[in-house]
Amino acid sequence: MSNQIKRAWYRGFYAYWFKECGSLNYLLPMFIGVFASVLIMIKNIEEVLPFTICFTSICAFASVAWQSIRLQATEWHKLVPGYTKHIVTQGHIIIIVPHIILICAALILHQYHALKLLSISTLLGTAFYLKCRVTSKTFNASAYVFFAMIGLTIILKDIPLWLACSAIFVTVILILLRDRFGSALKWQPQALIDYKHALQSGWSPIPKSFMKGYGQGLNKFFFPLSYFMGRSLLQYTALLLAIFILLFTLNYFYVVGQPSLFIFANLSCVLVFMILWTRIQRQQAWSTLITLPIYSSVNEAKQSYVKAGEKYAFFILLCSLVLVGFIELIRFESPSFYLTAIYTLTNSGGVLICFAVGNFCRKSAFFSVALVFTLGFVLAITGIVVETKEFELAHLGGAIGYFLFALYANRKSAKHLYTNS
Amino acid sequence: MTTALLEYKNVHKIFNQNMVLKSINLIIEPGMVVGLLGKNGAGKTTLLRSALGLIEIDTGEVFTLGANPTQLNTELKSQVGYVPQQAFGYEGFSIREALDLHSSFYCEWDNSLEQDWLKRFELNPDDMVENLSIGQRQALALIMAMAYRPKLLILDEPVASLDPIARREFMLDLFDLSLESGSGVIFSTHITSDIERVATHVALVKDGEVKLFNELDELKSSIRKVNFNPTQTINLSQFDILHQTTNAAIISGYQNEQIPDALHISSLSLEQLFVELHA
Repeated sequence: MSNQIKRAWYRGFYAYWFKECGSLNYLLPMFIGVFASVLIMIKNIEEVLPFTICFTSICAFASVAWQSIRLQATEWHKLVPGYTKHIVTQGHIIIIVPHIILICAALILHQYHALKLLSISTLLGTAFYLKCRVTSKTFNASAYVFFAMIGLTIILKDIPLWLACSAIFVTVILILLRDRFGSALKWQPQALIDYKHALQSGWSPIPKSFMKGYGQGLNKFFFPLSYFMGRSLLQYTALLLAIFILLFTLNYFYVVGQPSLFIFANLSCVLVFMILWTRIQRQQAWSTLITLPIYSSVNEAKQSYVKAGEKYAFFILLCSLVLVGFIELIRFESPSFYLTAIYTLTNSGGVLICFAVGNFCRKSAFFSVALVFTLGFVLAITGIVVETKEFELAHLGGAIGYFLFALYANRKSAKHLYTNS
Repeated sequence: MTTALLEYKNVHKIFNQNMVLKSINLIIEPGMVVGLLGKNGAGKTTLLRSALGLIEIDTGEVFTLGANPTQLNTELKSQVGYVPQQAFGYEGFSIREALDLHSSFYCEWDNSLEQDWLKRFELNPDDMVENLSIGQRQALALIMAMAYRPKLLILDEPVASLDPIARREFMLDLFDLSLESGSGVIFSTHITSDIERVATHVALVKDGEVKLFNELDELKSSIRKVNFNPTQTINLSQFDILHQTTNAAIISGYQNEQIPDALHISSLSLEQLFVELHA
């Protein structure tokens, strides 16, 4: 009797999708997103629903698109009879199940606006996935797809019915014509390069050549953080500074205080996540680092790494201070600068907590899970600070305590840093 | 007449305006263990990939188990085993999980062979694939490619990362397997001693061309290095000249005859032949 007949669709499902850190990075937020979306529909919080729904949908597509890169990088996959079909079936289940849950929840809870949003996110996700199946390089733009989707949720407050119907129609057409877009899931040597680069750079949206040949001073200042990150550290820092200047300018012309503070806090933490991700992917590099003559022991190298993380947190602190101080100065009639102090301390404290948690993690999969929850926690704290109308001295005391705790946790995490040697 | 398991007919392939395969003609029949010997970049991997349909050739024909390799059906696929140079694809799996999934695609999977080789390569089924050394990954890839006893086995530098003992044992197993089941094996390598130990045939690839393809024993007995005086002319027209310098030539087709004006005629080991041809 053929083994193929006996094989259930879920064979290898857990290991393939949940134990590979790349897809886990998307699946975990997807699960949280499904749960949060249903909860939000029940509670009828209309402001947040577009974001959670679209985020969930895009995460599902991104995880499957990511694994399609892995398939293209696997030289033998089409030679094993039935292997590709088996994995693709599992991928389709990952896409379909959360969407069915969301559609059912929207129908049962009469959240018809959610259905319209889903039609748009499904179109975007389907197009992205189908393109990734043919060209592995497309996945490098995944960050932009996420940004575009988040942007759409802000722009498309009320999606007209005709647009939703058109999106469904185009999605169906795309699915029907999928074989005409080129050879899907064909092995290509470039795919392995793209796969490894994406994993090592933390899905960096910045082109590899950006700021090539610049920033030696900054690299020295943040050493050995820059040792693990390479050019990416400079790129991320430049990106953060660009966003800082953009938000600063926006606040001069328009009243965008709260959202800009939340966006800046979000991006600070996400960029730290990327920095940590790169470090954990380049664990082997420790062995070379600790042989450098500037360090007399492994412990000294670890302490130096932790201090570089602190320097980065102080850089965030400085940017936060200038941004929120400026907002308070020009937008508040009688600025007390409580918000400035509290936001600055909580944002840089959050960055330090991310560094500390990252230092405790040895494996990518555990790191993914730990950092998703840490990011959730840190951003929830910042969210509370941004939303608070009236500040008291006690709030400031809490923020100082939070910051000091984060500083202490980061210092203490040094001895837990895994050096792989 | 035996049916060829793998056949190349006047195959050409161009990559970025470079001809990486030139007029390739090769036949692999059941029971043959063909060692593909060549320098890095000689075209060995391209040659093997074209037999699997991973790379499409520009001109000529390739028949894998009698079919076009780009259109192998399920039945034919389950008779081909392949180990790529870079083992990749089961990250996130433990060895046990990877073998469990992989074996489910083959009805001829031999569990006892799998267990034997796990022991031989000292692989712990609970170890995660991404934590394995390059050699261990290679060993796992070999088990995955061979445990269903394929008719045609294509191995791209299969033992380069194994330790000498594992390499020696594996090569002998490979030979036994081929003899037992009448399989055909083609493997690329830089290690001439591996070829000398197990290969029945040798194909020497240089600059995308198969310079030599012959039985190993035949090759050893018919290849000679002939030294001569550079000031004198020497007649070697009755032989195939594989390589010539001002005072020496590597010839094929030698049958113990006298060569007038030759200063010295010497036999060559496979390694010496390889080095001389690339000198």
